[in-house]
Amino acid sequence: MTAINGTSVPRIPPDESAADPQRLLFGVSLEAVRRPERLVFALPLAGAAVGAAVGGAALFSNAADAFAVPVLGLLGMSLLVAAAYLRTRNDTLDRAALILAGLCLAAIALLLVLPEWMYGGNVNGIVHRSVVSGPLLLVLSTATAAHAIRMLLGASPSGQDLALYPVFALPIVLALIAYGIVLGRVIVSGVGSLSLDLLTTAWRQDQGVTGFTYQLGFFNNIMGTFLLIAMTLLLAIFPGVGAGVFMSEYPGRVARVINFCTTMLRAISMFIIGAAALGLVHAAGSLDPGSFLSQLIRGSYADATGIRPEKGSFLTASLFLALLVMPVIARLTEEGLRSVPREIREGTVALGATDGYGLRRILLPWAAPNILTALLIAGAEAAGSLAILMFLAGPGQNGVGPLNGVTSLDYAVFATRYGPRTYFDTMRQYQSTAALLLLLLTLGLTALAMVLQRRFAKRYRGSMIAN
Amino acid sequence: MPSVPFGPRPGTRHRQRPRRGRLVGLWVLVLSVAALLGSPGGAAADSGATLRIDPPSVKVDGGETFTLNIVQSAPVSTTGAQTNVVFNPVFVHVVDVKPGPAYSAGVFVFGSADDGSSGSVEAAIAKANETGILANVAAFLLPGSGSVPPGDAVFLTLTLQAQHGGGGSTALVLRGAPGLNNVAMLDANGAELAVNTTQGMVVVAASAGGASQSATPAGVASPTPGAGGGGATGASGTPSGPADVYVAPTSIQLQAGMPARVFFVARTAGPVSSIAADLAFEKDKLEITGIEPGPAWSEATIVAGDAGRTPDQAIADANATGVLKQAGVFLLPGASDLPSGEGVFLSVMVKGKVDGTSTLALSGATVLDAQGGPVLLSSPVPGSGPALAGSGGGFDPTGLVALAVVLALLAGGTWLIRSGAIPARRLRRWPFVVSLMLGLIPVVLFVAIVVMLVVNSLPVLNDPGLPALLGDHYSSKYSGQNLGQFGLLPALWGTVLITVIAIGVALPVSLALAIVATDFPMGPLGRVVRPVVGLLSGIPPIVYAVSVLVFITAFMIPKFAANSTYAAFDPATIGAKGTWPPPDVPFNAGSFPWDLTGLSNSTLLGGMLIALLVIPFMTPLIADAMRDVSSSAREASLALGANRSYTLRKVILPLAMPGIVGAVALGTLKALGDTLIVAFAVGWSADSIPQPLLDVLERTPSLAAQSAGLIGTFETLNDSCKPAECAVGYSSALLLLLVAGVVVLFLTYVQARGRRRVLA
Repeated sequence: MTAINGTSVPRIPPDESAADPQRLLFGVSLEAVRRPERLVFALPLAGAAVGAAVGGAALFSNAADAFAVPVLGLLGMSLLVAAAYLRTRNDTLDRAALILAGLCLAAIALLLVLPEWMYGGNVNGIVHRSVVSGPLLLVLSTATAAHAIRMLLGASPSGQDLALYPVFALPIVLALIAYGIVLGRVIVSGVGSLSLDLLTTAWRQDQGVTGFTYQLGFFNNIMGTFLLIAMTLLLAIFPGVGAGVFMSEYPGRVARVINFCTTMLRAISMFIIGAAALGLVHAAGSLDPGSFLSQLIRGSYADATGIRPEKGSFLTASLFLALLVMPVIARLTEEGLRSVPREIREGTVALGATDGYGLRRILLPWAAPNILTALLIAGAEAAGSLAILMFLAGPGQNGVGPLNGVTSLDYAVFATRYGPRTYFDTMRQYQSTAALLLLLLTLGLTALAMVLQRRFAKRYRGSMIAN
Repeated sequence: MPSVPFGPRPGTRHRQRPRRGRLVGLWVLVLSVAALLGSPGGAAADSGATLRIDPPSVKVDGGETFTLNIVQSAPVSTTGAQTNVVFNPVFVHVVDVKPGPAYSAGVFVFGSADDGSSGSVEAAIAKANETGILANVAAFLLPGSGSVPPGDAVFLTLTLQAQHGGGGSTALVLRGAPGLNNVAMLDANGAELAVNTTQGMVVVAASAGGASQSATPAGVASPTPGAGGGGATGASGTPSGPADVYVAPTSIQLQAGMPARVFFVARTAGPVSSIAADLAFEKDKLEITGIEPGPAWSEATIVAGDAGRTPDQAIADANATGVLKQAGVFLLPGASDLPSGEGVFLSVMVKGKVDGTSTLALSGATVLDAQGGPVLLSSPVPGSGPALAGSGGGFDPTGLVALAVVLALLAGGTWLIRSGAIPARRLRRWPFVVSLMLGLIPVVLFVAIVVMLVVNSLPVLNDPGLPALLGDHYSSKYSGQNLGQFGLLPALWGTVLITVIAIGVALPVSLALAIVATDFPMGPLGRVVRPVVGLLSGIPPIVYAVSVLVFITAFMIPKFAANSTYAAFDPATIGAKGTWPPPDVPFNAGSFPWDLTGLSNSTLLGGMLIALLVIPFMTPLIADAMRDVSSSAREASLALGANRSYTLRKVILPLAMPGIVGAVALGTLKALGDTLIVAFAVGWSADSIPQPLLDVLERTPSLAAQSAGLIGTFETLNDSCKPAECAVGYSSALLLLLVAGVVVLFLTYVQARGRRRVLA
C-alpha cells in the first residue's frame, strides 16, 4: 500500500483470508470453502443444476414433465440434508434452506393435486400442469443455487455477490433465448428472398392492356420509413423537449398538469390516435382533391385528370406519430435535467448566467444523452407503429414526399399478410423479407444512436461519468 | 479560485465555434431526406390463360335441365385448374359437376373444410345451391399422369336446372370469393398461372302462371315477379331510390401518346350489386387501354362488352367501334358490405392519339340493387370534374416547397435571436415562455382527443344503453353470431389479464437486465447485455407479431399438439403457397392457421408476446434511472465496506425507485396500448369472460383490439361502422383510457412518495 511520510499503512486483513492470501476462489480463500459444513452445500448446488436443466427441458416438451416431481423431491432432500448437517456440526439453524425445502414440498403437492381453479378448460389432464412445472422448477432451482452459493462462498463480501449471479442469470438467459428464437426465425426465413433488386425497385401497379402489370420491390417502403422517422422526430422534438424543460425547471401546478397530460398521451393506445387520424382524413375527404388543404392532409398524386387524393399523407401520419412519441421525449428530458448535480446548477447561477444561457449551454447538453435515447425510442416507434399506418398507408407507388401518400416498411410487413388484394397477391411470398428488412433498418439506426449517445455523454458530462 | 474570465459576459451573445456547422449539417440532412422520390417504371408479363363458359349465353324455360362447359384455354400445357362458380340460386340450381375428359385420369376436388362441404359432391352441390357459390372446384393431373396440351380443353361440365318461378336471369361468374381459393391454373411445372375469366349468362323465361320459387337462400330475396331479364334499363320501381350514373370528365384534353383516366361515377341511395354503362367516345382521338374497378369495388368482377366477351376483347371491340359496351362491376347479390352512396365504380385508362379535346358520353346504364333487381335511374347528370391536361405521375414539388417554407421560418427566427435584434433583457424570460407554450401543445392535443372520444361515445347512452355495456357477453360481426350484445367486461378482463401477465414477466427480466448492465456486470454476461438491450429496444412490434408462429412451433405444438385433434398437423406446411393463409379474412380469428392446434389463441401467449415488446422498452429506462443515481452515494457505500449486492439492495435501488416506478408506468401503458398487436395472434373480439377466471390458455383479447375491430377498416374509407357499433368502439377506447388513467395516477402517487422519502 502507499507510504505516507515514510511509514507503511498496515493492511487490514479481510475475513478468514489471512491464512493463505494466494489461494482464493472468487475472492474467498480455499481454506474457508473447504470446511465440511460448507462443502455440504455443494449438494443442493448440484441439485439446483439438475433442476434447472429439467425445468428448462420441461418448458419445451412434455416428456421432461414426468421428471418434475422426482427432481423437486431431490432438491428438497438435498436442502434438508445440508441444513441438518450444518445443524449438527455448527449448531446453527439454516432457516433459508428449511424454507426452500418447504417450498419444494409445496410445489410437489401443487403438481400432484392441481386445484380446480388451475385446471380450467380441460383439454387434457396434463396440460396445465406442464405449463406450471417448468417455471416452478426453474424458480426453485435458482433460489436454491443462490442460497447454496451464499453458504459456500459467503465468507467474504465478494462471495456474497456471487450468490446473486444465478438470480440475475436466469431471467436474462431465458430472455436471450426467446429473442434468439424469434429473431433467428425472422432472419432465416427472410434472407432467402433478399436481393438487391428487391431493395431498389419500387412496388408498382400499372394498368396494362390485358390487366394489371406489377413491379415488385421495397424501395418506396424503405424511403418512406426514413422520411416518416425524420418528419416525426422533427415534429416531436420541440414540444417534447419544451414540455420536459418546463416540467423540470418550473415546477408547480401547471407543470403537474402538463406531466399528467403528457403521460396520458402515451396511455392513449396507438390505435386511438390512428382513429383520430382516420377521422381527420375522413373529414378531409369531403374537400376538393385539388385544394391545398386536401393535399396537405390526404396526400395526392398528379394524374391525367388532375390531382387525385391518396388515403393519407406523410404529414398527417407524422403529425399523429409525433403525438404518440412526445411523451417519451418529454419524460426522458425531464429525467435528464433532474439528474444535473446541484453543484453545477448552483455554480451556473452563481456565475451570473441567465435562464436561457444555463439551459442552452449547461443543462440541455447535460441531458443530451437522455434526449438522444428518447429520440432513438421515438424513431423506433415511428418506424414500427402500426395502428396509424394501418388506416392511412398505401403501397406508395406515386413517390415519397411529405405530401404523398404515406407508406413504410411496416406497412409492407402488414400488407403482405392482411393487405388489399392486389398488394397481397403479388407480395405474399416476401413477408419475411419485409420483416427482415425492417429489422435490419431499425437495428442499424439503433446502433448508430448508441454510438452517438456514448460520444455525447463523454463530451457533455465529463469522462468520469460516462459509461 | 477560478475567476470570471474577461470578455463577453455569459448570457450575452458571442460567437461560438463549429456549432453552426453542425446545425447546417442537420438541415442539409433533413432537406435531402425530404427530397427523396420514388418510382421508376417497368412492366411485367401476363400469362394469357382464360377460363370461359361455353355456351356463353343460354335461354331456358323454368324447370329445364341443361349443361354448360367451363372451357380452359392456355398458351402452355397445364396440369390443373381451380375455380369457384358464383350464381344466383334463385334462378338456377346445380345438379351435377363433372371434370372434363382431359382430367378424367386426375384428381377432382371441391368444397372447403371450413363450411363442411368437402367430402362429397352432393354435399358441395347442396351447399352451393344454398349460398350461390360452388366453392373450390378443382381438377388436377397428378405428376406423371401427363398434362393437358395447350389450347382449348373442357375443364368442367356443369349440369344445371333452371328453377320455376318468375323469369329472370343470372350470370355465372368464375371468380375468387372471400374465404375461397383464387381462380387459377397450374402449368406443367406446377406453377400458378394467372387466369382471366369471362362470365356466362342464363336467362330463364317466365313460366306461365308459375309461382315464385319458395326456397330463398340466405341473404337473397326473390325479385318482384314479372321483371324482365335483368340487365335491361330499369322499367319497374325498386325499394332503393333512384340512382345516377355519369362520367367524369365529359370532355377530356389529350396529348398524343399520353395516358389519361376517365371515371365512371355512380350515386345510389342504397347498396347496389352491379353497375354497368355504355361509353361512347371518338375512336380517332383516343383509345382505351384498360379498365379497373373503383376503390369500393376492388373485390368486384369487371364486366365489359357483349355477353361472352372478356374485358380485353370488349376493349378491342370498343377501340374498333367507338363504343365501350356495358363496362362495369359485378358483385354477388345478397352479399354483405355492398357499396352504396357516391363513388367511382370504374376507371377507364385511355391514351390520346392526337392532341386536342375529345368528348365522352355515357348511356344505357344499368344498376342492380342488393337483391339483383333493377334500379330506376334518374336522367343522367352531365359529367362534372376538371378537364385538365395530362402530365403523368412523378415528382411533386409542393412538398418540397412547404418544407422549405417551414425551414426558412426556423432559420429566420434563429437569426433574429442570435443577431441581437431583440434586446437581451426581453430575452431573459424566453425559456419560460417558450417551454410553456411548447409544453402546452401536448395538453391541448390530449384534451382534443379525449373530447373526440367522449363525443363519439355519447350515442352509446341511447343505443345499447349504459347497462348493456356492463354485460358480460359480447358478440359482433367478427365473432360470427352478431347478436348485438355489447358487454365490455370480457374485453376489460382480457386487457387487465394480458397486461398483468406481460408486466409480471417483463419486470423481473427488465430489472435483471438493467442491473447487470449498470451496477452488477457479471463478467462476459454484463458486457454482452448492454449493447444487446440497446439494439433490441429499436425493433418494431410488428416483427414480433409476425414471428409469433415460431413461439407456437417451439413451445406450444410440441407440448400440446400430441393431445389435440390435429396431431398430424405439420407446422412446416403453414403458409405453403396456395393453401394458406386465406386471402382476405383479416378479422376472423378462427381462420388463422395456428388455430388448428386448437389451443394457441391463448392469453398466455399474448402476454408473453407483449412482454417481449415491453422488455426492450423498459430496460433502458430503468438503466437510465439507475445510472442517474448520484455517484457520491454509490461510492460512499462501497467505501464503507459494503459489497455490490448490499449497495444494490440498500442504496441504489431505493434511490432509483422513483425512476424505476416511472419506467414501469410507461411500460404498463405501452403494454395496454400494444395489445392491439397481440390481437393478430389472440383474436379480435372478446365473447365472454372465460371460466374459470384465470384460465390463461383460452382466448380473452382486449379492449384495444375490440375497438380496432369495430371502428377500423382495412380497405376503404367508404366503409364505416354502424352508429351503434361505432359508439361502442369509441367507448371501449374511452374505457381503456380510464384504465390507463388509473394506472398513471396510482404510479404518480407512488413515485411522489418515493421521491419525498428519499430526498427529504
